[in-house]
Amino acid sequence: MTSPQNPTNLAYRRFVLRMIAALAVYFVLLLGRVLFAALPQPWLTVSAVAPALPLLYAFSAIARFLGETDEFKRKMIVDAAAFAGGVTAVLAVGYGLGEGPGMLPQPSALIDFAVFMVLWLAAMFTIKARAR
Amino acid sequence: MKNRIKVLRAERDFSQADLADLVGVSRQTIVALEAGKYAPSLTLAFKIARVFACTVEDVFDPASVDAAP
Repeated sequence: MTSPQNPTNLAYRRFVLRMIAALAVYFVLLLGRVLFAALPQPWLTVSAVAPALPLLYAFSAIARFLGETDEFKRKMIVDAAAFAGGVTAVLAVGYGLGEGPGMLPQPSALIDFAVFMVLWLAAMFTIKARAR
Repeated sequence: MKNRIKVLRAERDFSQADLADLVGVSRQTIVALEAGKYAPSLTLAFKIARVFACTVEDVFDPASVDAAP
């Protein structure tokens, strides 16, 4: 096991703390969205989209982790994200062309994010296994 | 890229984790390097060579890299 002072371990610890902070705020805002569902406009819209704000911090946490971790891990993460982003884009465009009256149903835009995350994790798992 | 990291490490009785700490990368990176699944940056190659007190060519086999056209 590597030392706790290894730069990659320190980077990972900072990343986890930042993600916990981002997700804590996210869930508080999400709870606020549910509790204050009867707010008048424009506050209803503000409370509805507010949970997206801590995701900006989560995104910055990922970007900082990429800068702080070692080169091989960075390559794995970026390769997996590139694969997931490319496949998600193709799926989104393909499905989007099939949407319309009498054709495919129109799901929530959030499904793109879910598809991307699942593909990213699957790609990370595959790349990690192949690197052994 | 072929390399002698595993041999050099064994000669010095370093574990993969020891070497990872000495050059500031994860153990996973050392595993991938030893397996020849990852070609390191120049910076990392020099750091590894410095730990073993030898040249980069002593650690990494230039002949295993395809010659540029």
